[in-house]
Amino acid sequence: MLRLIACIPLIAFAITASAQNDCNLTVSGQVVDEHDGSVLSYADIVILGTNLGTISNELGYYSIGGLCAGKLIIACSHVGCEPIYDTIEVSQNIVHNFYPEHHAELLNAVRIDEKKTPIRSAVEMETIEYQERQKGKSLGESLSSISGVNTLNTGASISKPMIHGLHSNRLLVLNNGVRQEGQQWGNEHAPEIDPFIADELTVIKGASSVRYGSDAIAGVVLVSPKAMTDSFGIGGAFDLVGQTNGRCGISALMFEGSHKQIEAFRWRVQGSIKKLGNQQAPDYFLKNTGLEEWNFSAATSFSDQKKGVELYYSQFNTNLGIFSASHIGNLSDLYRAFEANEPIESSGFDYRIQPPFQRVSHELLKAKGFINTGSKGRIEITYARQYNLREEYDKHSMDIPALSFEITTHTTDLNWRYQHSDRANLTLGVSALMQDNTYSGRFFIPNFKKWSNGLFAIEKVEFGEGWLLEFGARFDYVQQNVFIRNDEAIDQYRYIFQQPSGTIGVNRSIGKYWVWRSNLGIAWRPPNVSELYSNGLHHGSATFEIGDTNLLQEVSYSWDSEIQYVHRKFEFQASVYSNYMNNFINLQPRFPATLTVRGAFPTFEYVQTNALLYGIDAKAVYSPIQSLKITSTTSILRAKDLNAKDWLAQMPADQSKLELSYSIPNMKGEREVNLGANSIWVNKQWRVPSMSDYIGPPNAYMLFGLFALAKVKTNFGELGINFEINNLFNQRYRNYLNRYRYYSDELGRNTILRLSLKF
Amino acid sequence: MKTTLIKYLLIPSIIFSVGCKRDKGDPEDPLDHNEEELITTVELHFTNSIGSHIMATWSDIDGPGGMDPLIDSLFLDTNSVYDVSIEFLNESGEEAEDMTHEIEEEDDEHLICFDVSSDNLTIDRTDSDGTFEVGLMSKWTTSEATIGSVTISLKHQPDVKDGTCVPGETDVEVTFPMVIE
Repeated sequence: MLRLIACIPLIAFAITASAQNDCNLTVSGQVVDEHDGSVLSYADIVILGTNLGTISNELGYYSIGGLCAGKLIIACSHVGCEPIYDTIEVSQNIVHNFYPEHHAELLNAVRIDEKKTPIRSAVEMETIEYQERQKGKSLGESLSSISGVNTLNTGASISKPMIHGLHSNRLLVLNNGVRQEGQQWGNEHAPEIDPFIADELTVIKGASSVRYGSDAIAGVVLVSPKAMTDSFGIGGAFDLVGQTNGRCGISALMFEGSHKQIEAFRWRVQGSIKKLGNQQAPDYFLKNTGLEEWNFSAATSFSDQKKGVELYYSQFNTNLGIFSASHIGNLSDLYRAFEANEPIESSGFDYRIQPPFQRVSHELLKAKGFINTGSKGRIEITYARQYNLREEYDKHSMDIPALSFEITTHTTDLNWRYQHSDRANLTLGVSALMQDNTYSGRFFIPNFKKWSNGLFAIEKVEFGEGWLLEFGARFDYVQQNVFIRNDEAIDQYRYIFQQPSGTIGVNRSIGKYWVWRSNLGIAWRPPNVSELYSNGLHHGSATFEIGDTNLLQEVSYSWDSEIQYVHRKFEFQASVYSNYMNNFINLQPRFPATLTVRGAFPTFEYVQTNALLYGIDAKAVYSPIQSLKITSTTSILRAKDLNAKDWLAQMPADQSKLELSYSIPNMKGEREVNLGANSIWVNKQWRVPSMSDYIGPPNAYMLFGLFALAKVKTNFGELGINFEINNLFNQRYRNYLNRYRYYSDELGRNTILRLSLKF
Repeated sequence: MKTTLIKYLLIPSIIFSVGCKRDKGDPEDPLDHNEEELITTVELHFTNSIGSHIMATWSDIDGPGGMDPLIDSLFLDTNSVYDVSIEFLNESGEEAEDMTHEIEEEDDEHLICFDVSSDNLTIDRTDSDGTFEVGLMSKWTTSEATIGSVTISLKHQPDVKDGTCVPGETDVEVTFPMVIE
């Protein structure tokens, strides 16, 4: 039997258990071509997380019975087009139609297999909806609900995503299909993305350089906006978030529309603002930890079945205070800060942001076009321009930034996908990047120009019973010219890095409930300019950092394997991974300390070593009764410096999470209520390198939280109400992955209320 | 339909063209390093009771890293009293820049702290910002012969100055070897 080949592989999950115990409801509807209104037969329709599914008949109709009441994710895939994932609420028999964007020519050759779990990739990926419970959280925080994903924090307002212990230049963030380029080398430089533009956040774990280019060593974070609206007229959403800790308020508004007069045209405008004051640890306020953020975006698309163009613009702006106690002059200050039970500079509540602070803005302009080539191919071209301005003010300079960086990036990607048989497709792509970086103020990294070009091919083929094979290869060329002023002269240095990368993976469906996948990959990154050139004091950490201009590229060889079992009451997935990194760039202590006019500073230099990282991520979901769901995740990582025969620094400790969620029976389908509790346990990270930190890692901790969710239909639209308490018992603790652990406790109790109206 | 389309595309293109910001610098023409308030040198000027003058210097002309700092030792007489003034300089440029004035101007944000390894030297600040001492001027009193060290630090304490050395950020922390003979 032939099978469908999906254009974009996705794992969607999270089925909220339902209320009524009688499971005899039906969803039915028709599958209709989005553009010409023709009916689509043989579309594959599945209820995710169950073994229920069907195919549409000759008139495009389908019907799935035996459903239990509640919220379900229903997937519709049709050959040669993007699968559709819709969330539906079932309280009575309902009608739900699909409008896929489809290629009529392909229909003839199609026959349909019976149902299977819709995982169509050899790489491990997990998608979360950026839904009510995430709103107001930063990108990093939202992602940390996925096992194996952590955040690297600088205080409570700067958090960077971390996959399997790696972050910054070892993790690629794709914002709306464009690689995010800013000053991402810095641990205290968080991704400049408005989380409200995201509809879905996908984490691809493991080497993904072949598809996405350099830096995709630990994996890729895909931030995907909502697809453009399908229905005529104007709709939108309004979000309001309030938070007790830091007395934070966030508001977001979105409008979108499409019009009968010009069917192919759609548009969306969106914006969000956020204001946060001094945040609070259990015993004290954290002085100058306020933040303000204002963002907006506009998107238009003009497309029909065969071709289309899309224009997108977004702007991200933030002003964020740097916790006063963390801005220290030297090592004596650091010890003084650590020995003090609470921060030496205390404060009450204040919204004002004072020096030291950071001011960052990021701008993205993207134009994308696609055209179908014949009946089986599609060419996509994307051009994007990004501009990133980062200004850091310290306690001395109130008016001019002590240092500022401006970086402008142009990227162009051209991809051609060709379905050369019913069970195989090929993607060919080229990508080019051009980047200019300038700085002013204190020297930290030099000016540079960067050019990068890549060429790749990926083949995906299904064969036998339930097998999928995916393999690809890529070649990248990166050139970087560095300019340094030397009195009157300007010294120029040229760096060239070339690297092939490759991947091969399999995905095997075993019976109805099991899926196994495994992937081998090579990924890489060139050393970044801060690792090559930094030479100076790092204020927040009281260290002197020395770059090495002779660093070579870092190459990762990784293998991972995952097994999944999904059945009605029980769902389980476990993955093991290992990542050998050749020429791993590591910051290592160097002796003696550097003596400066500010005192002696422990000195670190960038050194290349070989590293091995390996671990396990596991997740289990159990529903003993339909309205109750128990979810447990665990992640374990070991990271070793093979040359020094020691551990690597700054790696997440072993941790487990447990969540109970209970849904209260529906009232005539007009309401949906969910209650739950969660806890997280994080072990002490005692696997740290010797002689590399002033202060040992903090103790293990366990935190508890509560949440409640309700959805109500009102005259204005669907209203979502969401209530959450984090750190319920106001627990005092410190987190090894937070650089401020030297200076202060983590945040205390935080109560969050979110209102969200879709109209 | 054509005109409507133009209308629809006009609005976003205006947003895009107004929004786009440009890098003002040229990567091939880097600016000079411009470190705000870099201090490279600490000078101690000693005047004893009979008016004779000695000077000791701690200097790191090329800034943090690079060459090691040059450090004088302090040779003081037993049972003597010295008036000491401290000067901070930036000698990284072609001309030395005196940073002491900036500290005097913002004396309510600065405090100089002394840490002596021996009981045979006591140091008292003799100047004031009106509320608290500053330490640019001080009186050093020696007793018996000894060998030790003096650590001098300049604390920047905007809004938090309370007369103690605890709050604020350390801008300077230098240690002079000391011989009382």
